[in-house]
This record gives sequence, C-alpha cells and structure tokens, in this order.
Amino acid sequence: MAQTSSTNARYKMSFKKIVRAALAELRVHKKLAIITFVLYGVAMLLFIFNSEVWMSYDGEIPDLMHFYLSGWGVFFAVCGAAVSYFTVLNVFRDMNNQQICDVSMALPIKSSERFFSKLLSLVFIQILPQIVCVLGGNGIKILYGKLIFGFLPGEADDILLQLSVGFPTGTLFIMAIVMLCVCCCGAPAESSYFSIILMGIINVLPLCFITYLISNCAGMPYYFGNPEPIDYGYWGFLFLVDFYDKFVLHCVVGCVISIAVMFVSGLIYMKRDAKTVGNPIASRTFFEIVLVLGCVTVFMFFLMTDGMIWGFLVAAVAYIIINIIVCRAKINVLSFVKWGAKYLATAATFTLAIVIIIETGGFGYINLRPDAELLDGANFMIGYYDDDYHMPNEYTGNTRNLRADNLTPEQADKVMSICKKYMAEGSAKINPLLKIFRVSYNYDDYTRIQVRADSNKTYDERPFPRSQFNWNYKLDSGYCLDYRQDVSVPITDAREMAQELLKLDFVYEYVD
Amino acid sequence: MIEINNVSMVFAKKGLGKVDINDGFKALDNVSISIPDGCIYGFLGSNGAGKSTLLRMMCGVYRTEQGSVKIDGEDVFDNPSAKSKIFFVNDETVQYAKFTLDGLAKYYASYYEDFSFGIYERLVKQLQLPRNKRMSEFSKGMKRQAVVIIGLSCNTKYLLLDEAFDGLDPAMRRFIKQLIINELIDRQATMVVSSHNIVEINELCDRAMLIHQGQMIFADEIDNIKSGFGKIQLARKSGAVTPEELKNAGLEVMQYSVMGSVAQAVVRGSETDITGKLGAFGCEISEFIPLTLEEIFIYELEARGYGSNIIN
Repeated sequence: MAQTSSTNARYKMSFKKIVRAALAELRVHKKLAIITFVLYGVAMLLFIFNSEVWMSYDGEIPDLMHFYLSGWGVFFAVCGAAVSYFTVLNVFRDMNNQQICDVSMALPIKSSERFFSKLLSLVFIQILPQIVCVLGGNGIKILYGKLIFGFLPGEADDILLQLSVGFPTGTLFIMAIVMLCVCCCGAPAESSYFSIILMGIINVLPLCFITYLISNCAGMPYYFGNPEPIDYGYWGFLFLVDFYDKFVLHCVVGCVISIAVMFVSGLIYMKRDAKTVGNPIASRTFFEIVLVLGCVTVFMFFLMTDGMIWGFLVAAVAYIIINIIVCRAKINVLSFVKWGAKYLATAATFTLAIVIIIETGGFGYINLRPDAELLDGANFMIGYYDDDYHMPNEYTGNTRNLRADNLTPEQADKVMSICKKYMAEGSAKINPLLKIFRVSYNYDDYTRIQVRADSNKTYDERPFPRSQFNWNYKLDSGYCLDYRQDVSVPITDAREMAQELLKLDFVYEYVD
Repeated sequence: MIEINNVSMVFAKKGLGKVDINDGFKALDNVSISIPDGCIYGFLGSNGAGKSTLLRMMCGVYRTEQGSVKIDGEDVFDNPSAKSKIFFVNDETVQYAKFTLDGLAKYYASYYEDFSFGIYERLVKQLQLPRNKRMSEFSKGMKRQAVVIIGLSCNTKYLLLDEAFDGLDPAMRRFIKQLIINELIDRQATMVVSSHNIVEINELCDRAMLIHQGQMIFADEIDNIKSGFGKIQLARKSGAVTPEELKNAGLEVMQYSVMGSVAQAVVRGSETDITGKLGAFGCEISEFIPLTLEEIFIYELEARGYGSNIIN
C-alpha cells in the first residue's frame, strides 16, 4: 500500500515525466535531429551570404545590406522541413507497429503524458534545430554587418526573418498532417500515403475551389477583383506564395491551425489502445472524410482542365484502388457494390453542388462583378473563335477580333451593355451540366467570348496582391479601367453580338 | 497479486469495420485467473490461443473492454502506478534494433523510477554483452539476453515474458532461466511466462494455466494439474473395457484406444479416485500411469479437436 501511494506521488509530477520521456525519444531519434540541424544550418548560411552591400552616394560608407532568396538555401530548408515527415512517422511508430506499441504502451506513463512527451520530442528534433539555426543565422548576420561594415543590416533583411517564421510554419503543417494520419491509421503504409494525400488535398483544394469554381462561375477570373486564392489557403504551403504582404498573418494562422490539429490528433492518440495497431485504418470517419475530399480535389482539378469526364473516371479508379488496399479482409462482389455506391453518392453530391454554385453565380459572388461606369478613354478588345475551320483533334478556326479605341464613358457603356447582354443571354442558354462537362463543348456550336477593356490611364503601382477591384482606382482625374471577362456562349450569340457591335461606328473589326 | 476476472477480447476483422463483441475474432472468452505474489506462472496454449493477448492486457497494452485486470487492486490500463510494477518482454526483439545496450538501459531508466544501474552493470558483466554496439548487430539470442537484463534491472514486482526464451541455445536458456529465478527470488517478485515449451514450463513454474481458442481450460498449481489426470491400462480376458463402461463408472474419458483385450484411456481425476473405480471392471491387469504436463497438454487439446484434423 505504501508503495502505491509513493508511486502515485511520483506521477503527479507529470511535466518532469514528460521531459524525461521526450529526452528518451530524442536519444532514439537523435540522427534525425542532427540531419535537420545540418540542413537548416546550411540553408541559413546560404541565405546570409546571398547578400549585397550597397554603398551610399559618396561611395565610401556602406549603408545597406540586401538579402536575397537563395535557391539552394530554399532547397535545403525545404529538405529540412521534409525531414519532419519522417520524424513524425518514426516518433509515432507505436501507432502502427505492434512491437513498438508493446514497448511504448507498457511503459509506466499515462497516454496523455506519452503524447505530450512525443510532441516535446518533436520540438527537440525539428523545431529546436530551426530556432538554433535562425538565432545563429541572425547573429552571424549582425556580426557580418556590424563588425565588418560597421552598421546593422537594413530593412531588406526581412527576408531572413520571414524565412525564420516561414519554415517552422511549413514544418508544423507537415507535422500536424502526419500526426493526424498516424493517429487515425494503424499501418505504416496507410500512415505514409494518407499523409501525402491529405497534404495534397489541403494545398490544392482551396486553390482550385476559389480560382476555378466560384470565380469562374461568377464570371470573373480570380485575379480580377476576387480575393486571392491565398486568402483561403491559410493552412498549408500557400503562405509561401505571398511572401510579402500577409506573410506573417498567414504563418500565425497556419501555425494555430496546425497546433489545433495536433491536439485533435492527441485526443485520438489517447483514445486508442493497441487493438487497432496493424489495421490499416483506425478511424473510419477519418478514412471517409479523406476519400470524399480526395475525390472532390480530383473532380476540381479535372474541372479546371476541361476534362470532367476523365475526372470522374480517375477519381473512381483511385477510390476503388484505395479501398482495395485498405480492405485487407476478404473482398467480394458486395464490397465493390458498396464502394461503387459510396463513390456515386460522392460524385452526385459534387455535381449537385456545382450546379447550385453555377446557378447562384458562385454563391452570389457574381454580384461583386464590376460595372464599367467611369473611365478615361477606354479601349476595348472583344474576341471569339469562329468555327469556320477545324480539323480533327486540333482547332484551327478563325479568331474574330473587334476593337474600339479611346471611347468616352458613354460609348464604353454602350459597348459594355451589348457585350454583357449577349454574354448573359448566351451563357444562360447553355445547360448547366454542359458547363460542368466542358469537355463536351463543340466548336461548331459554342465559342468563348473574351472581353478586354482598359483605360488610357493605368495604375502602375497596383498593390500586391491585387485584392481589390483594380478597375476603379481613382486617379487624379477619372478612374482607370481594367476589365476582363471570358464567357462561353452559343456561337450564334457571339455572331449576333459582333453584328450589333459593328453597327456602332466606333467599333471596328481588327485583322491581324 | 494479479487478478484477471471474466476478461473477454474481440478483434475486428482486418481492414475497416466496427468491433462487435459477437463478430470478429474472439481472442479471449471469459478468462479468470489470479496470480499470487512470488510465484512463477506459466501460460500454456496452442498457437493463437490468446496467451500474448492476455499478457498484453495484463501490462495495459490493450484496454479491458469486458471484465477486469487488476494489479495489486488497481486497474492497469493507462495507470502508471500499476504499470510501474510490470515489465513486459514481448515475443519479438526488432523494436530494440536502433538501441545500444547502454542506450536501452537509459531509455528504460527514464521511465522506471526504480531502474537499478547496479543490477544492470552486474548482469551485463555476467553475460558479457557488448554495451555500445547497436542491437541490430546482435544475434537473436543476444537480443533476448539484453532485454532480460533490462527487464531485471527495471526492478519491477512483476516480470511478464512472452516466449522470452526463443532463440537461446540450450545452455544459455538454462543459464538465463537460473539468472531470472535468482533475481526474482531475491526480491520476492512474480514472473509470468508464456511458452509452447511445456518441459520448460514444467521445470520453471509452480503454477500454470492452459488456454485454447481464448477459453481457459485449467489453471492451478502444476502438481495439482498433474495429479488431476491419469492414463489407465486395463486388460480383460472377456473383452476389452469399452468407453461406455468407463463413463458408466463415473470416469471422464479424454482419450481411448484399444488393442485386442487391452484398453488404454486417458481420464480426468486424482489417482485415488481413478484407481478406486477400476475394480468394478473385473480386469486381470489394471494399471494407473501418471501423465506428464506435455501429455496433459496434448490430450486436453486433442479432446477439443485441436490438431486431430492434421493427424488424421
């Protein structure tokens, strides 16, 4: 009895236990820590020495240091972040290896303590080497600037700080995804490839969804007036795209989401015992969610490349193959029927969602489409493909171009209203399903109208990213116009539009 | 004391699927045993009988979904206090491949407060194992020795060994067994060992249980087990004694064979009980032969159809 109470007293000091266990894990995986340290160390050195010293006008005193992205530096840092994938798989091997699970779960430590000790060991193995490299790198940078040139590096060295934030963010993302997959899968193979699949989904799906779906369905290219796709990609690697404007915000939000996912993984980890170790999938919910998201990603990818039919086929094959791999029990005809039914349900739901999105103009996004109202000398280029000639497998039809130069606002309004009328009417004539399966467009029957309008005055210093409507920035006098619209319509509508436009005496046909 | 009460365990089929207590593979079915302190307890059973599953439950690797497993009155799953009294050696050694022996000692010392480097040093010296060589370079026998050293150094009250002597040559097997027994006797610890090697269990253990297809067949002191079975040979001129006659006399027949007028049967019961009933058959010759543990094992499993399809 006395022994029990003294033991209980010891386990109250769980933090001590966590640290000791984390250090024990670190000793097991110290090679990975050393590899991470070497990769980040080399990357930081490459960044530091990829710099320039700018001299002041008198040519005597150096007054500014610029740091540039080093391609090899990025490469080594990315390799360092990639090590985290293998680190998490190794540290959490107890979730998919019966022998290691026996050792791990028989140890006198609570599952929560064991999870947090693993988290802490990941900090030791992955995050700590990065912090050491960043601090060391910045120290060397200061020495380099201050001691050799006698001044502190200028503001352009932000890039180094951004890298210091960016790569841990990427590392945390990888760690969170792999941790979730490892906790939801019971076999090493599934833990590995589900991690890669899920990372792909999270990075690709928001980009596809925003860029090619809502914006296209609303009739606007993503770069025109819509929020950048990156605004929807707070979690994942999309933060790397926006290296200047919202970089820190993206990193902070990304880190918070990653940490939240890690804690969710922790809850699953603590709930599991060794029973599901060896089973390919421990959480059926997780499996179904990943499959649905995976299908949607494939659909979206093929939707944007005009090959929706192929999208359904590729997704179906991938869906069945993953189910075959995962189902290590006996497979029979009923299994295929079940998988087929689930896949069809997923595809049908997706199709329905797309129809709704198209019908609602991208969930009302269409209402944000700008009107051409004020301009200062507008120029129009309106083109569409005419189907005069086409050959099997290769379109060789004519491109018909109409132009109008230096228009007044009233003239521009006339052009715009004709264009909008035919684009709206023509687009409405196309069956929504045909819009989804754009592969079935026929050049004999359909074409794509492209309307480009800009004003004489342009706004050269557009903010990056172009997150506002850039067609109506106010200049000293009037507004500038930068309008782009691509719409698929029946070819007869395009021809009628051209005829009506050509009736205006300031519109002419341009022949290259 | 380890108390296992009405423990059942069902594994889902591989792949996806909800675990249903009536579906899947039933690894344990209402198993109850109690293992007193200071004894050496043997788990006997056919392949896939549930020995390893039960051992894993006893050290908290599996959650107990039905029934209970208590170590000194405490539930063991996710309970560091109970687990600190147990060291579990499973039937594989691949998990230690990354470690050196010293590294493994440090690893376990981080978790077991009572880890004794004194015992560790002494045993390493005794077995002369390389301390700074990766265990992936060890032979299977050396790995086994290493894990046993670590297990003993953890200074736990209970040592659970799952097929722990596999891979050891007979001399080393004997040596390791003696080493463990000496260490355990010194500290009044309990050892539970599972093995297919019945001779080994017979030599090593003072108690044993037999498990088959998840169901416990018997659990008792080895001497009691042995005294609970016997082989009888009965010769009668008027004709061999039939199984029906044996059953009518109140004997539980596990196996029966006949050659001419000589009948041979394996029956359950104590020697006095059985011999007392033999007089009723009017045999010219009747003989009682005690069974070895191995014979009991084979007859018990054969009586349940195990291996008979292979033999026939």
